[in-house]
Amino acid sequence: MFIRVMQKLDHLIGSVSQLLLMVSGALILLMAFVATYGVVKRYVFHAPDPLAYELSTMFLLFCGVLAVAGVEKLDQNVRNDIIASRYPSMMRLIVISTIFPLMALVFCSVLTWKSLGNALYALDIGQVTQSTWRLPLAPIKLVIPFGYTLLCLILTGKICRGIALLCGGKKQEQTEHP
Amino acid sequence: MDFTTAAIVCVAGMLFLMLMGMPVIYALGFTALFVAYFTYGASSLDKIGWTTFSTLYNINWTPLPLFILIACLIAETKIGEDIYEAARNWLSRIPGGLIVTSIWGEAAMAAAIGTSTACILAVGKVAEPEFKRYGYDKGLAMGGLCCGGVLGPLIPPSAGMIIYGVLSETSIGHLFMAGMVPGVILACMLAAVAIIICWRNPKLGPPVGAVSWKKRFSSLKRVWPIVVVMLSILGTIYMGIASPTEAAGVGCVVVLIIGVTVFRLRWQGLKRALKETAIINGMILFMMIGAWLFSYVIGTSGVVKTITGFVTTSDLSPWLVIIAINILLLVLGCFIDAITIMLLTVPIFVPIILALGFNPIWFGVLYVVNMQIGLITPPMGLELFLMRTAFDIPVDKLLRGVLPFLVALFIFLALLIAVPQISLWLPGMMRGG
Repeated sequence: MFIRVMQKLDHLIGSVSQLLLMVSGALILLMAFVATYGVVKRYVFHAPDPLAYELSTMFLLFCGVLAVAGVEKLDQNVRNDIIASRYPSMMRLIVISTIFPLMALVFCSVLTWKSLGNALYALDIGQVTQSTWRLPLAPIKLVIPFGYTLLCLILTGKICRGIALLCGGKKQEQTEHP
Repeated sequence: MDFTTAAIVCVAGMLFLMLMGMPVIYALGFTALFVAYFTYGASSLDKIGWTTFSTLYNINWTPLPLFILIACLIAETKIGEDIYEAARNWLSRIPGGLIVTSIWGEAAMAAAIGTSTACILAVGKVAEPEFKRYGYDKGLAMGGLCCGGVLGPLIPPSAGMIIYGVLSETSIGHLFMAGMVPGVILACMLAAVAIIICWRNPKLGPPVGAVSWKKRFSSLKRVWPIVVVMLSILGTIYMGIASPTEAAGVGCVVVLIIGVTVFRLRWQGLKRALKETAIINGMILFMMIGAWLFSYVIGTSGVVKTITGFVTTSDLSPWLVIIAINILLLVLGCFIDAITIMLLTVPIFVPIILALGFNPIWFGVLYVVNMQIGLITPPMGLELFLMRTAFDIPVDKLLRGVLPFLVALFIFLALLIAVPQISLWLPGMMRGG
């Protein structure tokens, strides 16, 4: 029962991360339209609009943080495989599938925790952007811990899978060589 | 932990974890976090809280995802095929014509795509069957294709130059223009290598045969999309009409319109392009955050100041320093991927270059060429592995083919170092240059 719930949860987190990856891509496309709008407004209508810059910067932040979980889920982060490709399978399980995700989780947890604190502080003091639009920064900053929380969940799922595989591998080894 | 020890532990720990197979972002972030905590205490963690915001809420990075989107959208169209066909029709009669076609095809694609990998794949998927069909030596042909990939980030727009520009606080528009003339010279040099080799030994790359003038001119009709994209990006930057972000935005919209109306780009293709863009962009931007933390630890340790002070006060010739940096970058490029090297070394090398009185734009061009040569040098040589996987060619065979082109690349690098005007002439002609 517990395993089934965990599997469903893992599937759900994976689906959300993939959805956010698409949202991130759509935001980049939107950024392109906004940039074009800025050029057209300036040269065709002779009315420069600072909102184009403001929105582009905001979309950049969103498309970056919303994609990190999906990138991790698809295992697309750049890594150097020169030594790792020569690991025996058991060592691969221990190092690549368990220890490294655990270390990554430590780093990402601090990122989540501290960026949440930063966002809540922005909410407390009513921080706004420096442009003439003076947009509130707290909602923008809150997207950061949201993206990282999802990344932490993906990493936790990876660690659980790594440990499960490790236990399975050890059991298999014991059966083969009692 | 004192500051110097902190810097040494940070660099050594990061390299160790990275070589052990940890994703670069986590190797950077974890070591920086660990060292910062034990050197500066818990207060250093607060810095981590606003790292993401201060790094990504930055207008300078905005051209990057847009240029990646352009590359991904172009990959979904047949623009690469049309360019290759046009170039083949014009260059088919010369010895090694198909290799020259690939190189010039990559040069044309580079004017819209900012990465070497995308350039190689876009042209390679059309060129490979042609090489086979006309009995070209696979090693040599693929070697030419692989080295032509250097043109991708050299001819603007370029993802590598955006990263360098933001990290070194140099004008991205000027950097783009600085790569233009070197890019054309390199395309000529690589083409000359192919022609000379195939002229001496025609079996390696026989001429394809005559093509009528009618066919040649009619094939030109299909290269207009890339010309329009190129003008919308480079033209607007050169004329001072648009910033790199705006030019990239306009370029995206133009590619999208051409894709939908001319190449029947539909929802599935667009979805693939958007997803691919989000993955590449997310991966690079996340690495920037790790690199920022890493640079924070290294920067506050005072190591960069010490190195810069040592280099400027010693009797070392500035040119010797440039050559040493180039050699170091080439060696690093054999083991570590280009973006990681940039993130780690630009904050260290650029202050040295500025202190020695060199132009950061010229150095940016050298940097990009260096990184790309590293990508085709064993043992790491990411592009060699890409070629092996994508085109099913043994690495040793590919290496033999790459070698003559690699010699040309080294001569080209030496030329760039010796004659800075090659890179600096066009930026000087720009509006506001």
